[in-house]
Amino acid sequence: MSQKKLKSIARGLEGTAGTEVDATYLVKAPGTIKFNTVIATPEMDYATGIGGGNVEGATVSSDGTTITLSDYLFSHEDTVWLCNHAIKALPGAASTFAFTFYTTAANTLNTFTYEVNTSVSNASYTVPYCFVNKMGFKADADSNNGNVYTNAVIMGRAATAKAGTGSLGFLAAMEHAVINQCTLHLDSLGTAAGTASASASVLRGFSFDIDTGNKPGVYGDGRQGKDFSIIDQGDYVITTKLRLLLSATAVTRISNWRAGTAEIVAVKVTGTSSRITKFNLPTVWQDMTELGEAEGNGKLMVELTGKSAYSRTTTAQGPNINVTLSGSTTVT
Amino acid sequence: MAQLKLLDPHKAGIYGLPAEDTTAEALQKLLTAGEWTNADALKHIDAALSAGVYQKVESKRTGKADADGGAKPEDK
Repeated sequence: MSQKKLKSIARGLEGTAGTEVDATYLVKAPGTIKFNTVIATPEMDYATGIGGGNVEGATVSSDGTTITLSDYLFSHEDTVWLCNHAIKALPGAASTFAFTFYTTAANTLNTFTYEVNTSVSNASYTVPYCFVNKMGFKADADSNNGNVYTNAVIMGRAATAKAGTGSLGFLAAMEHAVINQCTLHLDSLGTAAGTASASASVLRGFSFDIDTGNKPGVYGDGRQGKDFSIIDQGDYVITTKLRLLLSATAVTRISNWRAGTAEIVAVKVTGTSSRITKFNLPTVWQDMTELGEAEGNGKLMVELTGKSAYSRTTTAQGPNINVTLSGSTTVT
Repeated sequence: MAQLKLLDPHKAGIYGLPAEDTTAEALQKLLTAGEWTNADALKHIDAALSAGVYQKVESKRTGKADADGGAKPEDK
C-alpha cells in the first residue's frame, strides 16, 4: 500500500563531508525530494540518420538532490541542527551556539546525510553531503495561531535508493514557540543587538528569509560522480520583515526607512529552562506596506521590509542567530 | 541641557521634528505632548540623531558659564 505522504525524513551529522552516515534523528517536518538529474540525449539532438532521433544513447550530465522542508513548527533544538549546515559548524558540546554569518572568510560548514523514506519498497533515498541553501523563520499573530515556523531548502549529492535507518526518535527536549514568547528590541547602529528594552505590544509578526549563499560547487576535481564536489559559499541575503502595530515604534521605523538610516533589529524567542533563540540582524529598511493597507485584529498595522547584513559602525555587529538550549548539547 | 544643532532640515521633516537648532528636552516635550511615552520619545530622538538630523553640541566649560548655559573663555 502506498501512502499519500512521505513516511519520514531523517538526518545524521557527517564526520567527513560527503562520507555517508546513518541518520540519527527524525526531522519533524513535512517535505519533498527532487532529483536534479540532467541527461544529455545526443541521438535525439544530433543528426543520426533517423527522423526525430533515437531514444538510446542518453548520458547523465549532472545529478544532485533537493529536499524541501515545508513550514514546520520551529524549535530551539532543531535550529541548532539546521544552522550547523546553514551558517557555521558548531556541533558542541555546548549550551549556547552563536551562528554568525561570515564576514571576511567563509565559515566552516557541517554537512548531514539525509534519509527520505516512503513505505514503498526501493522508494526510500539516502542523500549525502547535504547543506542548507535557503531557510526561513516566521510567526504572525494573525496566522496559524501565532506559531513560530521554520522552513528550509536542503541540497545534497546524488541520492541512493536505500532503506532508511530504523528505530529513530526525535531530538531530545524539543520546545516549540509562539509569537507571545517573542520580543522585539531595536537599537541604533553601534549598539550591541538586543540592548534596548523590548518594544511592548507592537510586534504582530515577523519573517526572516535567508538565502545562505551556499550552492553546489561543480569543479574539475577528477571525480567520476556527476554531482558537486564542494559547497560554494557565496554572499548570503537576509530579507527581514516586521509587522507592527501602527505606534510610536512603527513611526520611528518608518522615519528610519525614509531617511535611509539602518538600525539593529533583534527578535528574541524565549522558551523555558533557559532556552532562547535570538535573531540579531543589523537591518536597513527598504519598503513598507501602504499606510492603511495592513490590518490585524481590527487595528492598523505596518509591514516593513528590509535587508539585513553586517554593521561596521563601532561597536560592529554581524548578523547572527544565537541559540541557548536547556542544557549542554552535542549535534550528531 | 543637551543642545542640538540642526544638520538636515529635510530629514527633520521625515522624523516629524523641528527644522531648527533645539534641545533634546524640547524634542522630548514635543513628542510626549503627542501622547508618546518618554521611552518612545527618547528612542525616536536617538534614531533622529543616528540619522544625522541633529548634532549634539558639546559645551566647553573653562570658567563661569554664561547666562545662556554655554561657557566662554575667561577674560584675561
